[in-house]
Amino acid sequence: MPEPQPDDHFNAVYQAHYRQVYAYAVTRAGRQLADEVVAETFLVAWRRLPELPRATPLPWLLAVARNVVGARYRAEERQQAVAAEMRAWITDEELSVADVADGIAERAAVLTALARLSDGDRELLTLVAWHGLAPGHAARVLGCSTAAYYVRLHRARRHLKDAMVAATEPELPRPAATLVPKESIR
Amino acid sequence: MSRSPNIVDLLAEARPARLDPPNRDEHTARVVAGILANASTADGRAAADQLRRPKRLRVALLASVGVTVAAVTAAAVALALPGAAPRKAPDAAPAVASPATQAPMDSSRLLLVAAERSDKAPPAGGRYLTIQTESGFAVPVEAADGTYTMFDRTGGQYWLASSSADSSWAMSQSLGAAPATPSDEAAWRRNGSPAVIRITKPKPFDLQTAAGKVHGNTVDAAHLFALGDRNVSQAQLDALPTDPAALRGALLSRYDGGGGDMPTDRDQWLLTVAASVVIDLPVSNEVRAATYRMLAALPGVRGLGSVHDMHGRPGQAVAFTQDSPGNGRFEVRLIIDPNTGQALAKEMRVVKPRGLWSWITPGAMSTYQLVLVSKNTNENPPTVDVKN
Repeated sequence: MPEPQPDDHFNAVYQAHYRQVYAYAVTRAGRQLADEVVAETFLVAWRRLPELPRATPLPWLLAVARNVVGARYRAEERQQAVAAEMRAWITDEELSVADVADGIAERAAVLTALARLSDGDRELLTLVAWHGLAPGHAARVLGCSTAAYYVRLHRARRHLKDAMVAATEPELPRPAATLVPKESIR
Repeated sequence: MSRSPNIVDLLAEARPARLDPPNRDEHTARVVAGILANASTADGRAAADQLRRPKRLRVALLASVGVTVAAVTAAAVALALPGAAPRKAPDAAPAVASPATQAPMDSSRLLLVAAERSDKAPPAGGRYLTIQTESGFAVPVEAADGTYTMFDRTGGQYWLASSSADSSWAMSQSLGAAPATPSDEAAWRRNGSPAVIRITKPKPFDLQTAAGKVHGNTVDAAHLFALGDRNVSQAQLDALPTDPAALRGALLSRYDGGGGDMPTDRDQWLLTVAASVVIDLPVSNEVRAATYRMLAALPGVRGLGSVHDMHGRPGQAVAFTQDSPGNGRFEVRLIIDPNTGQALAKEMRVVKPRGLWSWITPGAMSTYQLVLVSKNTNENPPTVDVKN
């Protein structure tokens, strides 16, 4: 029996990107469901290999993962899973396993702030910060134009900053929304 | 708040460790096994069909995709093959090819004629360019009285919209398996002409002779094509030079060392890519003509004379040798209609079997690809049964 070839395209794509797809799945559906999302995403990729952009498959894969999450889980189920996931991120145990020993409070603050954002803002920010997508690629995952993406990113960053103020200064429990100046959409 | 100059950097530093999968190796093996296990289900079957579809626009994928799928199918039979009677290839080994019914046309002359005809072909127009193909992939079937070969056949259609008002589509359909040669057909009949052929090792796999559903998706043509292993946009294809020498330079500028199912030898790489330009890619008549003229001047192209493709269509063939690290040595045969300059078919015959194709008799055809329709049209794309 011949060994699977090392140049097997599907396996190569899987090896190169499954960690990123897994990470995205965790942020979108929580760790409990991540394996399912990853498996379903790569099954779709396997079926649709001819469509898979050969040079930069990641945005395509994440867009598929995004659809998989949307189609597979009820909104309520997903929100609960994500909420539980985000609670797990800010436990002492999780915060102390990070590479950087210091800055635990700051990491907790930014993750707490992230948890307070809208789902859309959170997705946008984590695509850039955690999944390393270039703006054009992130826009493709989200299915919007690059211009619209920049507008949304700008707003999401402000929302995160303001939520962090609220998170680090609990003595000023102003709702994050009141801190956000109304912005016009260009 | 101004404490952090870049909130996104701060967020990046706070990336939770829970985003990393638990155990890399075990995790990978489990998920890949789960995906491949679907190959035995009806759904996975369709998936396998899609994988085996012509790969028109991504020729480089053809063989490597075969590795994925045929790891399930071919490997199954390879286990049982030692001792199996070698089958007779129908139309002969590469060395003795050309069932010439007329004198073989010199390869350069054929290619130059094809170039001339291409120059005179009708120009593009209409809402869509549609390219309709059939591809076949040899699968060894283990039977009580020996092993025979079936071609698992897939129909593919591309509808490439000329305006952004329309969507581009890719569709595929399993056309069912058919015996590769008359002797394979006799073996298949001796075994009761099964409509479903169960392959049991190492993974259960059902080879069907009936056609399947039409799967289709809208596709982004900007990310669909590849020259060699690298993506190429329609705009880049349109910008290819129409002068043969300049075209050679433009193609070679994309040479990336090859590897996998692509030759690592630069000259062979160029031949492989040139064949894919004429048979796989939506290029202008002028670029196709330039590719033929370039091929006519390259060493290593042999004329095989008059042949018929798998649908019995007559044409003239040229052939060249292709060595790739992944698949071994092949003879690549390009069948051209000298009246229109249209490439009708590409056939691959194994010369030195290796890896995935180690079961096949040298000289036998491993895969074929037919262009059945390639035209500009105002018709609408057909409806699909299953949208993925």
